[in-house]
Amino acid sequence: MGDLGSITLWLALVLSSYSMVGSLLGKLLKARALLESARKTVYLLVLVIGVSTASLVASFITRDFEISYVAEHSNLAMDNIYTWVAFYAGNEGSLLYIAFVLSIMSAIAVISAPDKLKPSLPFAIAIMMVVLTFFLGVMAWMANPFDKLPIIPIDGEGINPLLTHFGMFFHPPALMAGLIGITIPTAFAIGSILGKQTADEWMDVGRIWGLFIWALLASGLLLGSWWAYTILGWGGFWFWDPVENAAFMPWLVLTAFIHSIMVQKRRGMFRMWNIAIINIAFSLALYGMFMNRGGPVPSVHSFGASTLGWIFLLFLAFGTLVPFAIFFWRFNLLKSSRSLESMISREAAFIMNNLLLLGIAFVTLWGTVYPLISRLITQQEITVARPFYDQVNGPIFLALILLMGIGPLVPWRQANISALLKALIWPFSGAFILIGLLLLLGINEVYPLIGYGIGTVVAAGIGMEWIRGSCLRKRTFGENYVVAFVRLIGANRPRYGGYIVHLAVVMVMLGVLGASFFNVQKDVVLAMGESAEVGDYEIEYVDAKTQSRSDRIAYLTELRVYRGGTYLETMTARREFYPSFNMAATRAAIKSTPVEDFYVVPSENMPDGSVGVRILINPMIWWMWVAGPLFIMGTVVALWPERRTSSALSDVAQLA
Amino acid sequence: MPSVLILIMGTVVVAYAQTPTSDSESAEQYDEAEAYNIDSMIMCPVCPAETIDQAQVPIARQMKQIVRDKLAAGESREAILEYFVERYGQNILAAPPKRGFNLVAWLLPVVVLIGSLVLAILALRSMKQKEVLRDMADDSELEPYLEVVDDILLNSTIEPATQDKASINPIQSGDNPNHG
Repeated sequence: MGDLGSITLWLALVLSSYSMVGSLLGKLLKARALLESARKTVYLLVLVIGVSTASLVASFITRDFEISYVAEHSNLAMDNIYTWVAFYAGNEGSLLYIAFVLSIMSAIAVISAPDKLKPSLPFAIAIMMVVLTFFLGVMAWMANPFDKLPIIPIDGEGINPLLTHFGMFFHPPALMAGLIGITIPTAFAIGSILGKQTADEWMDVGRIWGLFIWALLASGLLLGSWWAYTILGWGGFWFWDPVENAAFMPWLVLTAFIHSIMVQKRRGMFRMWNIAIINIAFSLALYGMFMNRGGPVPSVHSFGASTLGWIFLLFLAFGTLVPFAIFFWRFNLLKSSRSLESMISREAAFIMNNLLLLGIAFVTLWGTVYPLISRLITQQEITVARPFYDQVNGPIFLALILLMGIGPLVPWRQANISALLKALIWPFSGAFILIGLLLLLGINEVYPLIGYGIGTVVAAGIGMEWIRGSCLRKRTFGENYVVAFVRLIGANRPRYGGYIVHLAVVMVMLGVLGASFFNVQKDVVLAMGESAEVGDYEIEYVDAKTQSRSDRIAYLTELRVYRGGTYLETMTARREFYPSFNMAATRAAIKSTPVEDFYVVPSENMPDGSVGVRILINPMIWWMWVAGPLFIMGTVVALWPERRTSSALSDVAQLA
Repeated sequence: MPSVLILIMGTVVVAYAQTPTSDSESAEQYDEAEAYNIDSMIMCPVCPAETIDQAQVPIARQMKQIVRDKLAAGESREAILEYFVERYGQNILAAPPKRGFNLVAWLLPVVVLIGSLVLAILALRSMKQKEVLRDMADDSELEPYLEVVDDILLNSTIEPATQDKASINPIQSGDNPNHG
């Protein structure tokens, strides 16, 4: 099995090199047959890498411990369902996963590329194949998943216990797929420069792939937060950890990209800027991969500790310098025909949006890099953690969300200021009313007040658009409100899909503000039968069970929960200790409502039967998790293809 | 409408003035919220990238207890943080202190953000000016064509449609309009 995997890996390396060289030579020599075969090789690669992937999966299922990777990441006691997670749990396997995903995405991108991109397509293929060849090469020479052990062990080491969680089935693969997926729009962008197609031909594929990858990354990030919340045991959801930041930064830049590409689509502007941004996103993705594999800063992730850092650093340098060199070389071909007409316009709002998003990415990068700078210049070790990012990024986020509320109300090209102010009256009035109400309720922390006010501006603006649009449809077409609302969304999917995503962002903000500013935390040690009070909750430690498995000991703690004297329910929190990893994984007992989460996680099980628990009340964090599916739904709506036939009626509807 | 807005804002201001400020704690007790804030500024020395309010190891608990004891004794936030820095070094703090070289950590992002905003505005302004200049240049290019159009209109035999409305077409036979 392992041999088949190894052989197909080498074969894939040869094929991807061929496709890369063939595409470039074919363009140079204008050899159509060569171009054709290089293109078809992209499809063949899916099959070949697929076989390699399948043989690794098969090795896991058969527990072939002769293969070093299988022995490191599984054992006889492991449930087969975790094979999926074990596959990408370590360095070598995750590289194979990335290569497989890239081959699939490349094939889809090539097969669905529109005809108008024909001159650029070979260049785009070459770029995708460069990246794929890199990953296959690293595997073949430095990190082969199919390396064998000289002596076959009787049992493997088992899978990292922190990974045996539902969220881990999706978080790493979504993030890794998202990060490598940035290759696709980058390939089309640079490919179009090389193919001298410097108008807006690549824009449609750029937009579609950009949105899809953006949603993938957003899901991965939120899932990671959710996983950290339920399994890491401290009730938080974002560390500003270097590895987290490494995935966050490309996503921020991609967010900027999917907005500014709207300006290119609508007005043919920002051509150069869009290519620059997608290059930056790609570089940051490579930087993320560098951080994740042998990066210089320690992190909670500690995933796949390896010595591959330097080769990824080299590829990061290559992947940054070459695209930007190409960009500057053909710079003057990219100039837009139109320019900004007014500082108060939708275009200007998008510029501001890009500035703020890139600003947050810069601050995040700066925080990751500053300890190294401090060490170099002052020989002093300085930590940059949560307080720094919260204080510096917080205001920028607030400004960004405020812009999110105002921007959609600003017309294209030039805004009539008094009309704009009129449109803003209701959202801002709503914000002030809400702030007043919150003050009356006794909430007087400045930050959350501003945040909730801004959230109101966004929600009110969107709500007003929906109500107005639905009413207009009702008047024009006689539909009832529900049908009008649905058809309204259907008639202008990018816009209303975007609104849904904006609402999801507000929901995330609600969760973050609530849990950060109004949370209550208490650490107590409870003996059997003892109670503790937190807020208006009371918990009573009633039962303890111990379960032994071959690789772990599970301690279950049963607690009765009361609120204001009334019994609510019995919750079970668990803590599993893995002796071979010397690590404990916890499952918090969480009672979640839209108002607040009541969260109990055991931190220590004492020999005398008492248990140390952390109790948390996290207000409104429910909204953050519910926002996840909403992000996806909004993206699906925005990407849903519209029927080509455009009638006069749908043109009228577009005005709504 | 503006008056309604002012009324609402006024209500907000009055409401804010009414909210009670947090009461001071007695000498024996400490403010848990302040203790929690200080906790989140101190890193756990043995955990990878966790503050002592996040970490659940014994040393983190001990450090939290020290924070609370010192608060109860009336020590200030700076004194408590300084206590830990003396024993563990600067990197026990979760963020760079806002003095000395480390001010760069805090100020650079602000400078970069404001700087890029200024740059963007300047770049956009210069793009706008180029567009205006180009429009003016366009007019002179069209000169010869405009003259041909004038000739055609001058020699046209089509009568204006109505006489009672103000005439839209100022060109009449014999006129030689001036296009400057």
